[in-house]
Amino acid sequence: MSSPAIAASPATESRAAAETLLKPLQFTGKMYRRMSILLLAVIGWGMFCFLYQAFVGLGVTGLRRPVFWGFFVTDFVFWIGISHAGTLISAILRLTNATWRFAVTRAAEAITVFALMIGGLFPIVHLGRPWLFFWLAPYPNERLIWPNFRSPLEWDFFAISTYITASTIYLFLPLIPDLALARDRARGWRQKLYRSLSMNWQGTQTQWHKLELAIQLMAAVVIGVAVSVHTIVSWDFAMAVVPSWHSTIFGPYFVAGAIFSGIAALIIIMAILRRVYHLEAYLTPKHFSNLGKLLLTMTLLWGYFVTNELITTWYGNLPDEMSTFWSKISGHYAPLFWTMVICNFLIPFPILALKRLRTITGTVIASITIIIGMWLERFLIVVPGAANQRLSFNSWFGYYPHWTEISITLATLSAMALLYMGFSKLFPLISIWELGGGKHAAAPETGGTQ
Amino acid sequence: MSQPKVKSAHTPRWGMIIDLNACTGCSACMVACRAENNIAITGPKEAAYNGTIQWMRIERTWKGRGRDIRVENRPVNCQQCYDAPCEPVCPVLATYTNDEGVSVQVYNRCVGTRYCGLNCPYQGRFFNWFDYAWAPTMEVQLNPDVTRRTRGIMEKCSFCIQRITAAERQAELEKRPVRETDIQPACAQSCPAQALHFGDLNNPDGVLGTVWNAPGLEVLLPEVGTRPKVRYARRVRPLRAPLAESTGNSIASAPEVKA
Amino acid sequence: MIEVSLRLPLRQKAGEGTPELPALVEHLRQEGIDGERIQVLSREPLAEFPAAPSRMSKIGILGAMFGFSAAIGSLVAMTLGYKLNTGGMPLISPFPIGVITYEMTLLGSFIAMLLTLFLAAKLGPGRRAPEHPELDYGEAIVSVACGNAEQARQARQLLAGYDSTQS
Repeated sequence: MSSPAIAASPATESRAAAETLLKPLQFTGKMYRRMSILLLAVIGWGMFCFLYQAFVGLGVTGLRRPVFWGFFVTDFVFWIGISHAGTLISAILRLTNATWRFAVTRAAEAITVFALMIGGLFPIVHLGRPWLFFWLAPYPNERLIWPNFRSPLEWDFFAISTYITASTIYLFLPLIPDLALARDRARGWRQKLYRSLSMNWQGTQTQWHKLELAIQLMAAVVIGVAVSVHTIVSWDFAMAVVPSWHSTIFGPYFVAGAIFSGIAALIIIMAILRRVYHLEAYLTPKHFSNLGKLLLTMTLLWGYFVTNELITTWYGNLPDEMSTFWSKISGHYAPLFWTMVICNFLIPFPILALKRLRTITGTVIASITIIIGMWLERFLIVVPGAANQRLSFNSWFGYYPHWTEISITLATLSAMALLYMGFSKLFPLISIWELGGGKHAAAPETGGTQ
Repeated sequence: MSQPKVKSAHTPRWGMIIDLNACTGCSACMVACRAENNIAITGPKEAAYNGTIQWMRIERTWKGRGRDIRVENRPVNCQQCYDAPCEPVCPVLATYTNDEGVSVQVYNRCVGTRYCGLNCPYQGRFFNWFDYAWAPTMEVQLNPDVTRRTRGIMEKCSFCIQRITAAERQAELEKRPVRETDIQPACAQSCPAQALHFGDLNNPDGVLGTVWNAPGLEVLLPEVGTRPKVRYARRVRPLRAPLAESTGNSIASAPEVKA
Repeated sequence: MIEVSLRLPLRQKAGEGTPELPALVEHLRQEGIDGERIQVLSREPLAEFPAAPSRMSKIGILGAMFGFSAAIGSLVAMTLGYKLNTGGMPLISPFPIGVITYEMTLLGSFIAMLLTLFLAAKLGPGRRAPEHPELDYGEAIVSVACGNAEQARQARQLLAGYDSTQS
């Protein structure tokens, strides 16, 4: 047997990708440090506000009876919605074998994990006695008292802990080969870190096969988790007897809204990464255009659901629900409502529908308005419903947020940015092995990002 | 785990009838409730921002217009529902219906998710937004049988459960079943018009048992299906000038007059 | 344990593959080296080596069944352990238990598949496998684990025949 004929051209593209994508792991710039300090300051202020609120009492917020839930629950739903950017979209793209996904999935999965870490804090932040949050967990204790499994908040506990476990695993598995690469290229403490994280990855063919199979199978399961999580979050409202909350539409409505805001967040973060880390070769206008098309679908779907929600309320004309309806259309919350309609539909729809406008700038503008609009949408579900309860003599209360609520909300935005910045300095933002994946393999059409 | 059982022939099931014909809207029940249950006085600033705590409150609705306008005073406390919507939503089992049908709030267990407050169609639940202070002279008036609630927990009417328990202990000492006439919640005790009647629904010959299913009695928001253990005796008016519209049974259907 | 390895470049043309690589492995096997000892390492999955049938999906289903029964069992036990009826709802309420059980079922499946992956692919914390930092994209390393010097000499001899840099 002769020695194999060797093609002279090496996998230059993958090597270049490895170089570019591992570069952020080696250097931190001045801007990065300044930005981190700024974000840490905002987070610190938010933590102070939380401690202040915990020690003085929730009265420092604008919440009063009957609006028991306000900004914090809005933030909770919003962040859990953002978390649907990643795992769900990435899993769908994986299962449908969309080849343009390689550059997108890692960034998306990271959003999921961080948004869940942040969103999962809000149920604790909004507690009257946050230091007793562990009472919501079923842990053995000396009085043998267990939590109430009939409460939707308890379902949240299980759903979110499942989701965060699943999506962390789902982020971690495709990272392993890249961590091994980073281990082989790094020195010092980083090498130690990557060595422990890469779990003895060698790159044997058995490992590749098992890993690819596991990712594929988990993609199927994680879709079931993701859909159920936001449905369960919507059930926090839909299970209540509050007139405008008690609605069967909330499950799909929340899931659609979650994917909607999730894609928008993904587009914004991708644009930032592209600019900051010079990933123009990997995150191309085509990616933004493709995600823009997905976003367009979700815009239409969102419009469909909102129409459904409003038209049934209006036609049914039940007095309990109409008070909420009118408070949104022309009452206390009307400015927010119409801003939401503009942000979620009137601005993004033309931008995303016209091919000429569906550029990187265009999709980013649409995404920013959608993020604002979706936050308002969550707010307009939570607050007007709570404020307009059945006994009409309580309905005069108009909710305004106080500075603690606003500060904590801003702090979580900063936390998201900081977590993402930290992630970008420790892990490659684009799956390097998947970028090259398939190029060498037998099927020629499943290659590359372009 | 389970409640201290009272050795009596039957388990009582406490309920209340509020006679809207007798109620004058004098608010004595509100004051008595506040004194009995150590309810915090939150001050004028909080009151302007819906931050008051009133386990018993008088809700005033106007019916009719112009010269025909009529006021209806309706004392509203926790309606002590059989199917209380506030209970299953609590993730830590801080609220449940005890053996005697009283929907109770376990202050020690409450972590303050405030879900119960949202899910109460009567808004009969109140949250301690702050650690409320008592003025120095007021502090000596605190009822020693009732805890002071700290910040961050829910509270609500419990039919003066401290009085119920005291009567049951007394009955136990005297080795006799508890009598409903031994117990009066503070609101019922203080009502000068005797509009509030407290009693045992499981006693068919008692104060409430004899009239409980009378046609003149209504529940608040029957459409929610909460099956309250508080019923209202409907206001009966002499035929005078006709009202512009039919008088609704529930407050929700009564038209509101904007002041 | 001695590791004898050979670094080989792969053909880069799309759709072509490197059929010499499986042939090399087959040759080593014919020369009496146990298949377990031969590993082909690469930075990317290689299509030349088709995946062996795996039981991972079945184990995932088993994990789901475990999660399902563990959830129902513990939920019923916990609820019966602290019997508080709330809001006229039955003590063992099918819907809430169903919701939590659904999540736990999927979690069970997830964990089972993760453990299967770790065991089957020999991943996990603590253990040290030989690292090949020199391995790059477009290359593969054929590695033979040898128990003694005799085996190592044999492997070296066999692999030397394929080493293009030396011939």
